[in-house]
Formats: sequence, structure tokens, C-alpha cells
Amino acid sequence: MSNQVTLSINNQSITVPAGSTIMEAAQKLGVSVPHFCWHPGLSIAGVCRFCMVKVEGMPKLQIACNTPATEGMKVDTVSSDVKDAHKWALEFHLINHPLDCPICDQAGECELQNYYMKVGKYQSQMEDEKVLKPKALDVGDTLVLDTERCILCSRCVRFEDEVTKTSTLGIFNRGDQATIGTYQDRKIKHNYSYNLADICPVGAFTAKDFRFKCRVWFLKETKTVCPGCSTGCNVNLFQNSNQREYYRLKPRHNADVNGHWMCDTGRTMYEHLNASARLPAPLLNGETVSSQAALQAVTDTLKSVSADKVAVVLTAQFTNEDYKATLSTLKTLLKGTPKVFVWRDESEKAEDFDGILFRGDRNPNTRGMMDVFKEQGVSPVMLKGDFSALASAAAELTLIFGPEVEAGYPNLGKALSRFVEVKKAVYFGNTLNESAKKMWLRMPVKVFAEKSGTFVNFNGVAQKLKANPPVFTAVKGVDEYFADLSKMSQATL
Amino acid sequence: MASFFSSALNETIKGYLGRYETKRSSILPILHAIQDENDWISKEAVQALEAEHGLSVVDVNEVLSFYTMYRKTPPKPYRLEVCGSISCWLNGADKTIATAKAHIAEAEKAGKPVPFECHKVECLGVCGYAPVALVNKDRHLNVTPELALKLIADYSKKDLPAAAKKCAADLAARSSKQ
Repeated sequence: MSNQVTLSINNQSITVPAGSTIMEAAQKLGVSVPHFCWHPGLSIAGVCRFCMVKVEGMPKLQIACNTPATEGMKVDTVSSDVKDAHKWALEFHLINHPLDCPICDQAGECELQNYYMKVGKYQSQMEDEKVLKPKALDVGDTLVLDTERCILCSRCVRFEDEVTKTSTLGIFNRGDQATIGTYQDRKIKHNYSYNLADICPVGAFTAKDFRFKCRVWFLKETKTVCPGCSTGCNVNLFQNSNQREYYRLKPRHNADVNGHWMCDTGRTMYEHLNASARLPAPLLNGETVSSQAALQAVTDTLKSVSADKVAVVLTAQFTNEDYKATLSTLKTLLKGTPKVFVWRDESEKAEDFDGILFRGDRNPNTRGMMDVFKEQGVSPVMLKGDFSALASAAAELTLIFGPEVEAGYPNLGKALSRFVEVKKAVYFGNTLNESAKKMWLRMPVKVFAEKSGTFVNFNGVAQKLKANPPVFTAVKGVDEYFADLSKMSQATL
Repeated sequence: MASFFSSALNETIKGYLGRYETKRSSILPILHAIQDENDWISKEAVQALEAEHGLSVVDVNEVLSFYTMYRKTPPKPYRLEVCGSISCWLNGADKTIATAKAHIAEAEKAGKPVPFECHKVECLGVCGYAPVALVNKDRHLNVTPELALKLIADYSKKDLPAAAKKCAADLAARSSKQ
């Protein structure tokens, strides 16, 4: 028996591995079959009865998600009886749905709403009163549950059972009284809870972090990579481009990196991108200066010192391009290699892993940084809780590249107060931490959402970042600053 | 710590847990076993299932709240369950139910309560002898209103079933604790 089967969907032929379902074949072919309970990252439930298709030779319509594709099968997803089935399935799903779309946060990205616009019945024949169920339930630190909006697709229950294996959610009671819920006061407590709001096809689960903040149709998404840890989950970053305000991240499917999910820690990676959390302009001895003036000060200092009196302190939160530009520019300007240190947080347990996605190495580019060191012939010294190596280097100029995501550096303040002690500290980073105030020079830099560049994840997968327009237009990336530095020193030679 | 369940019941539960591919599959017979011994299934019993036998309370509650034949509140010692499906209904089941319910309510009012409660249930599968009723697990055929009253009187004279006694003792122990 061959392990491939060929079937035709709407007269288009497609070959899939034996054992695939009609749904998978349709997805592969790019034919959209409407569905609620089916999710590619979860097991098959077959409860919503929405993905009806017509199969030649079968007396009744079949559900695409749980019907195996067979050799020579002829599937039809567009005929009038299929459309009729979709129309009526939606009508039944809406029997007890409150239709409160104007005040529902899911509106605009709601599958129920989208499908209804496409294949809805529009004139409902329901005469009975809707069943009322509990609303706005607090089911955890991150989520709110509205059981009236729920269509009982059971995606969330399967997610809890299969992905996080916490089994906090269940379907209680039956018939029109059936509700999704937690058991008494056992709340959803794990680092993947926002995925429930993502996979919920309706507005039953909404994220506390996002609800009532912005309508989804004002948001534009950028395909980028999460900087929260060394896994480097592929994400969509949502920005309201009129307000220059970032609102949230959602996972983007990548079978080689994160699958369909991302963690709650990663979801907070939009907070440090917004203007209120950032340093808007360079500060030289506490005075705001232009970046031109700031770079001039660095150039002047660079000219007066030798390579062994310059120290570079790097964190693994910059792109490969940033590291290359920094090291090669300094090498050229100084005619020698500066002393390189790598700053890791004292509390870091880099080998930790939660078994799903989240890693103890809270830097997105440790692997990439090490690769650049190898390429540049640099052997760095580790600074982890002990900064004596930096002090004994007695550098005249210290260039510090601070972490963009400070959540991974709980001992940041302590480290910063040690950096203040060195002569002429230049801090590249957006930190508003008090301890950084006494630095000689503080340079704001672009954040991951504004850079084009490469992160290499723990597994050696190199992934590109995609740049959005910067929040502060004068702020540049590290690689751009060093290109400027290089130009300026050549001009003054 | 002492187990919530009797040692015999614990053995039964363990037997069911090992019988199926997943632990979850054994929830139905386990709940029946608990109900047979305690007369009902309390929240404490569900929590004990999780603590002592590793069955998630969420999974158990999903099953428990789905089926109406699990008793989630302490019942009276005897349940007169009269079939109300089509054959029995055509043969006067609703009269039997009304009579039994009225009798129970009257007895309650008069201060001489009978250890009975009466429910309408769905088909019991003996349509040839409609109307049919169960008293706990005993089947009774052709239950006319007169027979229903006689059943209530007869059972009331008997010694209470073991499960009902245990149920009463548990409740008394619980209220004395509070």
C-alpha cells in the first residue's frame, strides 16, 4: 500500500500522506473549509460540526476535520448543500450566543463573526429566549471568561489537557446549560495562558492585558521574533501605527521553532517598546544632547586611548549585525582589539527549560553573539555577579550594551551601580533605571521591533527581524551608530 | 491520614482504575461505586478521588455534572423513580407520580414523614408492563397510584438500606464537626 493518497477537492487534485484528513488536504491545497473546533496544534474533537463537506459516494455530508482522505476521493466544499449546512450550523451556534459584538473585544478577529459575514443566514428563525450564563468570570491572572459567548468548541480544554497538561478547564453540565469553566477557585496558572485567548474562536476568553484597550482593526501586524528568551518564538507584533503604540504580541506558526504557541512572558515584550518606557535622547553627563554631539564625544575619547584601555561590555540582546559593526569598527579605529566582557545576570540559570518553550537564557541571541566573537577572533570575559575583572581592566573608556529586555536582568540596578564606578561609561540602552543616571554618556538605541537584523536561537536557527518605523525618529540602532562613528573619525583624521 | 472511602470501596476504585487504558475512562463506574456506598457523591468525595487516586476534579466534575443519575445532594433513603416516557405516560405514569408526590408532601406536613422521594425518569425499558418504576434498585411493574402508595408503605416499614444509614451518619458527623 502506498503511503500517499491522491484526492480531489473542488476538482483540484492533491496528494497527501495516508492518514491525513480532508481538512489537512484542503489546508495544503489552500481551500478554506470553515471550522471552529479544529486547530492544527490540537487533537481532533469533531464537536462543532461546522466543517461539512460533500464527499462523492457518501450519502450525507461529512466533517472535513475527522474524515480520512482516501485514494480517489472526490470532495466538494462549494456546492449549495454544503453552503446550506454551514449556514444552519452557524444558526445553531448562535442560538445562545449573545451577539454583543459591539462591546466584545474579539470583534474584528472573531471567527464566528467572520464566518457569519461570509455564510450566515442573516434572518434568524429563533423565537425562544437565549439561555443566560455567567459572564466576565475571573479565571486567572491573565484571562476573563464569558461563558455566554462560548460555542463549546473545546479548544481551550484540549489545550489545557494536551499542551500545558494542567487540565484546569472542563465542560460542565450538558445541553444548552453546558459551560466551560474552572473547578471552584482553581484558576488558570501557567505561563501559556494567553494562548487560550488566541485559540478561542469567539470572545469567550479575552486577555486582561489587551481587553478594552484598542479595537483590533486599528492594529497592524509585523512578523518578527520574540526577544524574551533564547527560544526565539516567531511572533506577530501589533502596533497602532497612528498612535505609534504597541499593544500585544501573538505567536506565528513555525514548526521548527515554536509550533503554534508562545509563553506569557513573551507577551509582555511590547511594553518596553512604547515611548513612556524609553530614553528619548542621548544624555551626556546628565544633559540632553544630540546624537551627533554624543558620538563626537566618543570619537574624541577613542582617539586619545589605546585599544587595551577600552572595554566593551555586551549583553546577548543585540543582533549579529550590531555585534559585527561594533567589534569591527572598534578594531579599525583602535588598531587593536578592545577588552570584551559579556554581562549575564547574576541569577541567570541559562540551562533551565520549562519543557514547552520558555528557556532560562533570557537573551535572544547568545548563540549569535558567540558566533560573531569566533568570527572576530575575540575571547570575552564573563561578568556574572562579579565585576572585579572589569574594574581591574582599568579602562579609560567602557562601552556598555545594556539589555533591552530588563525582565531577564533582575539584578540590573546592582550591575549598573558597578558600571557607574568605571571611568567614562557609555551605556547603549533605553533603561530608565535610576542607577544609570550617573553614567558619563547614555545612548538610546532602537528596540527589536525597529531593527532589521538576525537573532540566532539556542538551536542555531538564524531568524530575521523586521523593522517598523521607530518611535523616536532620531534614535538609531547600534550598527548605525558605529557606522556614524567610523565616518566621523575618518573625517577628523 | 485516614482514607475518605472505606477500605472495600478503595479496593473497588483501584480495580476500576487499572481496568481501562486511561484513568479517566474509569470515572463512570467509580462514581457509581461511591454512590452505592454513600448514597450520594459529595464534593469531599470528588476531592478525595483526586487526593487519593489521582483523578482530576475537573474531569470528574465534567462527568458528574453531565449525568443526572448521580446524586449531588444527600437524598432520602428511598427514591421512587417512575418512568415518564411514552408507553408509561400513556398508561397513567403521571397519575402515579402525582399521587406519590402528594402523599409524600402530606406525610411531611402531618409531621410523619416517609423516607421517600419521587422522581419522573426516562425510559426504564420494560414498556410491556407500563407504568414501570424503580425503588432504589428494585424494579416494580404496573405501578398504578394504588401500588405506588403500597410500595411507599411497605418500604417504610423495612429497615433502612445500608447506604442510607451511612449517608445519615456521615451528615450527622459533618454537622457535629461544624
